[in-house]
Formats: sequence, structure tokens, C-alpha cells
Amino acid sequence: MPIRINFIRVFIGLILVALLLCLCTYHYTNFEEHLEYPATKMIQQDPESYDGLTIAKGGTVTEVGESSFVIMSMDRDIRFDFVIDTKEEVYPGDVVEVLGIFRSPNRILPDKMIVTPAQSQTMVYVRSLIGLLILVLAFFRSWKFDCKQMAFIPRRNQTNK
Amino acid sequence: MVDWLSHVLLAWIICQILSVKFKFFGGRNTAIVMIGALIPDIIKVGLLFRWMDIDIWDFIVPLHTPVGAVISAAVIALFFEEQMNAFKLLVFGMATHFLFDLPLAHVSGGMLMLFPFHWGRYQVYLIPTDDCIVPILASVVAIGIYIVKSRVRAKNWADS
Repeated sequence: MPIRINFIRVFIGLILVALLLCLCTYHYTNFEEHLEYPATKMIQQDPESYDGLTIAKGGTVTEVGESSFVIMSMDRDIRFDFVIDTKEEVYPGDVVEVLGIFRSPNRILPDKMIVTPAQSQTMVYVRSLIGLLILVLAFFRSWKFDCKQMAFIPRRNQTNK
Repeated sequence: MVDWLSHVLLAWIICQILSVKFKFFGGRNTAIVMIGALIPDIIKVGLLFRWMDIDIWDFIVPLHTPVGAVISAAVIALFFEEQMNAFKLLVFGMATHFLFDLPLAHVSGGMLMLFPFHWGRYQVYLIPTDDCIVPILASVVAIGIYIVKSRVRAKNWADS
């Protein structure tokens, strides 16, 4: 009897994972048709045709000049440097989201920009790590993994009150 | 992104409030809701790949959509004894995740809330992604609730 239950679980699990993969594949093969702004890959292939159009990009600051800075944007293994024409104070490592007019070959005149300082970004990861630690402690205080059943079962001393 | 500390604590706070009326959200079930609150962020595995110079982001985006997260919750629920209860709690946690991710500020775009049926992106653009007020507030409220609960429990124990 337990073997049958496990088989059903594995079967349902496989179906669900297959469904998830279908969803991911559907997105990957169709998302370019539904983009609000052109992808980095499209701009890199033919920058001239996007000249004067509004684009939205995000990336990490790699170089800072007096009246501009460079962000490195990554799109499906393609790295592309955009020069952002602004005097906004940024530092290498900061994460920038920018919406603006594209000027061929790689300049953006920003209309809207969000800068996340590198230190602030690191703090998000630190807080997330603390959150994960709290979650693991809270979860395993009430539940334990039973290898025979291949399932999480309540700890004996825990009641659901 | 709203950090995981905020997601986990906000899910815990909501469960503590709801458990006053609905016992289903209390006790050990709270931990399952907290797990659910991080399910859509399975997508963050993409950061690990990006660190290895591999960009899989456009492939795994559906994990951060309600439909994708519900399927992920169903997969995780299979690893519990009472699968249907676990599934309900995970989906509830997942809903809190989207609720608190919705007000995040970006220059454009948003979450694909109706994917794969519709490609519209939804976002409210209120809170910066690196905001530290939300985790601080959540921590203060969570500590407050924890202290009150501990005192009530101690009082009940002394009375009995």
C-alpha cells in the first residue's frame, strides 16, 4: 500500500514539474513579442533602428564619468554597456534602472531613474539571509522530515494551537 | 525585491492575527505559510546562475507568477502528510508574497499577474526595492506580538 501512495505522489509530482517546465518554455519562446520596450539583445543586433525610441534598462554601474556613467546590462548571456547621460551621483557597483530615450549606438537620455547603492543592495541580501535563517528555525521547530514517508511530519511535542 | 526577512515576518504577523479567530493559521501551520511566502522567490535561483554568468531569468520568470507559484506550491505540498492542508497554507503564504511585492517601485514593467492568460504587467510603484522601513516595522510588530503572546501564555499557565 505505501508503495502505491508513493507512486501516485511521484506521478503527480512529475506532472506538476512538467507543467511548470511547459509554462517556462512558453514564456521563453514568446516573451519578446510582449515586451514593453526592446530587449538588450535586439538593441545590440541593430542599434540604429532603435535610435530615438524609449527603452528601459537595468544594470550595474561599471564606470563613472563627469556627465555620464556606464551600466553593464545582461540579457541571455549577452553583456552590453549603456552610457547614461546624467550628472546623477553614482558609484561603481550601484544597481541602476533607467527609462529614457535611446541614442545609437549605446547612449540613454534618462527620463526616469532608480539608483540602488551597492551597500544598500548588499543589505537586502543580508536581511534575506536572516529571514531564511528564521524560516528554517521556525519550520524545523515544528516539523521534521520522515525518510520512510518521504514527507514532513509534525514534531510530537507540537500541537496546532 | 522585498527582502525575505520582511516576507517571512509579514506572513508570521498575518498568521498570528488570523489565528485569534481561525486556529488553522496558528501553531505549526504558521511555518508552512512562512514557507509559502517565499515560494515565488524560487526565481532568485536565477541570481546564482547570473553569478556564474548564465542568464536563465527569461526562462524562469513564470515561477514568480501566481499560476507558476501555485504549481510550485502543489509540488512542495506533496512533501507533507496532509497535502491539501499544506497546499492551502502554502498558497495563502504565496498570496501574501504577491501582496507585498506589488507596491515595489521600478521604472517600468511589473509582475505578470495573469500569465499565461494575459501578458499585462502590474505594479503600484510605491516602495523602493532596497527599502529598510518595511523590515524594521515588521520586526518591531513581530517582536511586539511575540512578547504579548508569551505573556498571555505565561498568565494562562500560571492560572491553570
